[in-house]
Amino acid sequence: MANMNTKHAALQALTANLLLSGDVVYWSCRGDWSLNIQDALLAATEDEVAILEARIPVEENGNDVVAPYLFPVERDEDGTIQAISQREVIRAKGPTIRTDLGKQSGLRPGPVDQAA
Amino acid sequence: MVLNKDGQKLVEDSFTLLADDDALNNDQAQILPLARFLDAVEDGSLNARTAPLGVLLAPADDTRALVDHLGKLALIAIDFPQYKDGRGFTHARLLREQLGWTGELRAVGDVLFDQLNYMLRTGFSTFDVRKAYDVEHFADAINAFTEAYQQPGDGRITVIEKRHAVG
Amino acid sequence: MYQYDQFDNGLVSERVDQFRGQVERRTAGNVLEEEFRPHRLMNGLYLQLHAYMLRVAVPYGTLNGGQMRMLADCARKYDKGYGHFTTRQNIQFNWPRLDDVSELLKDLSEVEMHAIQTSGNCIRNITTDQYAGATPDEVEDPRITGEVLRQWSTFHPEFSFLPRKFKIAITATENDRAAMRFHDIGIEIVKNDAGDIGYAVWVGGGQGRTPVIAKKLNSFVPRQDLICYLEAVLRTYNMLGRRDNLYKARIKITVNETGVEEFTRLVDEEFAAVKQHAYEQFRLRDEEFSRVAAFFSDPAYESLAATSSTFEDAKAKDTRFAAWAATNIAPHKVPGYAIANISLKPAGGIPGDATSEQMDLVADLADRYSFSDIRVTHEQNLVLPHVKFDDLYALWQALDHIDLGTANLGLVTDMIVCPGLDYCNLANARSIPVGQMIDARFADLNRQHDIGELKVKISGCINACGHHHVGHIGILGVDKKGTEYYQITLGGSADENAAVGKIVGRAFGYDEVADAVETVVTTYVNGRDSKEETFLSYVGRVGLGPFKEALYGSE
Repeated sequence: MANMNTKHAALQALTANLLLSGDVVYWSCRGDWSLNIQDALLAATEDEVAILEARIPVEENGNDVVAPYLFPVERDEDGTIQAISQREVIRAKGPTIRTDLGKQSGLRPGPVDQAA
Repeated sequence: MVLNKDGQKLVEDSFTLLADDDALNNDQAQILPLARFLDAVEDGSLNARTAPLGVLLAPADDTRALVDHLGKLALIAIDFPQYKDGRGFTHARLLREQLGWTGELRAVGDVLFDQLNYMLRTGFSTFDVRKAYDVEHFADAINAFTEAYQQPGDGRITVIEKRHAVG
Repeated sequence: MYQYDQFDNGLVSERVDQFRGQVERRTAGNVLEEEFRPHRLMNGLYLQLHAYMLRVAVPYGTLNGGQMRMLADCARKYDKGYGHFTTRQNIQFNWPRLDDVSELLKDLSEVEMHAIQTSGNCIRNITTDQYAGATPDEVEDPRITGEVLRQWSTFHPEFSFLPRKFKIAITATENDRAAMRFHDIGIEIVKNDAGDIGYAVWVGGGQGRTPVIAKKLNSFVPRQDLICYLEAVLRTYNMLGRRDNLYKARIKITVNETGVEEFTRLVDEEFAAVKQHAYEQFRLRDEEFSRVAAFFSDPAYESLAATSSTFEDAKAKDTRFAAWAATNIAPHKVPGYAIANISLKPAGGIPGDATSEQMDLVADLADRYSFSDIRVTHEQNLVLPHVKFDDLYALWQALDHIDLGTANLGLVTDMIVCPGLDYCNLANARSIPVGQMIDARFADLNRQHDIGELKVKISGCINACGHHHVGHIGILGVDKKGTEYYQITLGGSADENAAVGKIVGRAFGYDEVADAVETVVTTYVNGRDSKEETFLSYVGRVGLGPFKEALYGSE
């Protein structure tokens, strides 16, 4: 909490799970879903948040992902995107008691191959 | 579109559901919400009726309020305002099993494709199906299961009965 | 155990086809998630934090070797090589793909298993005593009634869209090992003065955010009337249960808001109506009960001496085995046999988790030593219910070899722990690592045995899947502004002396929980009259005072 001031708070990102695999994904700067939180498009201003939020009903009426929602993130000094809540930290990495599973297991997650 | 158990569209269906501010018309086939029906019975406004009459049960209605009025009805419709609300299944069963209703029993509202089999089994005989896909694949849903462990309203022979059938 | 006939098989395989169709409609875009969701839930398929989770039913907690092997195969083929046994005697797979689930269910159907009604607002998997059929003190094998009710509740067209989920547990002994009094309906098999077997029916128990001990609604329902009676209870609940508030929708709230007397009157009235109009369809027929009962008749036990020198010798020469025998075996109704408990709580492990290799080995051991009979317990362990005393040492050695021989049944490290925030979409805090910290703190097995019976139960949110309300020590994870805190309750009990634990004081941080539990345990050990005074009796005698003092001092 002490270094809170050095971070930019109140950034929002859009996340969901892929329909077929269930994998956690983030809406990316490229305008598609990515498995890597570092690709996430961050909304800072009210307008940016509104644009990101407008994506939700589009996705809910589609076939790619399940349960899209916005959640708060922050950026470290080196630009790394960090989820703030424990829940989103765990979603971004994998179970804390099985570090051999989930995204943390070593694969470099990136763009989604829907056919995979 | 209202379908019967065999997926046939009801050609004769001329019933309209009476909205709150619609006037009662004794020469038109109409479906009245339960409270309005009971009021109309009470005040005699159905006395001159020539057209068939239906009643609509909402989830919170008391099924047994119809016990003395079944003879006046050509149709009982049961509303599923949300698929999650399963009270309509109880209405149907009580009507078939305890009140002895043998006429048309229609499911209306949020009639979920995969609930059709359960509706059939609790005694519904017609189904207001809205989506084109659901109409097209109606038979798959209504006959999803060949057998049943229970017999709550459609008179079928249950698995238990088949197991112990004599001869 | 029960074997499917053509009808049972037909229904389960039609369900697989139905689900396959539902998935195809979803992936083809014919239905949206909103409509698909109830279908996948009715098939036990949840979306959790990292992936889908499939919950497979283990009816009344009974598996045979072939079924266990199939679960192991499914874990390898469709998941990541492990499964998680739950407090509902079920098993969960944590990583299946949506487009694999139909195949997985098809594989399961080949061994007479399914995921029907493992979620959704319907009658869930019916649970019972894990010692059923083996324990000396039961009125009759509760699995017979369990199977009869499994069939009655499967695809019940009237009761599949209830106000909320509905859980039934059955016991047939005075020792309640099934937490019967914490279920929507608890069924206690009893014998009346005339010697007839019937059912005492308890209603409205549950945990969650409002823990309630069930009330006895009827002390003797004759066997042939059981289904009619349950129809009456379920119908009364279906019509009366609240649908305006998710948290007030369980039958425990309906009973409390209606009043037990009025609820009883309504049920009795409906019961009379059901009997009048539908008795023939819903009478529990003798011939059907007998047909099912035949599947649960005794296996071919050998005539054995009550004592075994092989067993006694092994205990004398192997202290680790002796420790296991002291905690993990229970008396069997047949001389020369024992009930063997397999702890799924190895040191440093994840409570309830078993790898495919472990499942395969348990299947082999069950085939060799226990008539291919395996049970899943609501405390997330496994049981081989019919093992000869002569075979126990060989069994334990084989178990010990793959980390399943831990001698901690009923002890402080035999915790119930929900998946918590490491997996679960509803959780507020992690549960598993908290359990692991406590486990590490009490790693010394001698100390555990010295402390004696102590049930620690951990939930990662107020839904109470980790049964914290009924833990002797209960731990509830809460979220305070994104940080995990843990509330401790003391004195809960899930057995025949059902009690809800009381909150001891302010919550502890993630890193403080193990210390707090240690303090509680030390307070008990130092304060007890003798080793005969259990933790629960001690809490009953002294109340929360000494614990508060030790935990918070003059705060």
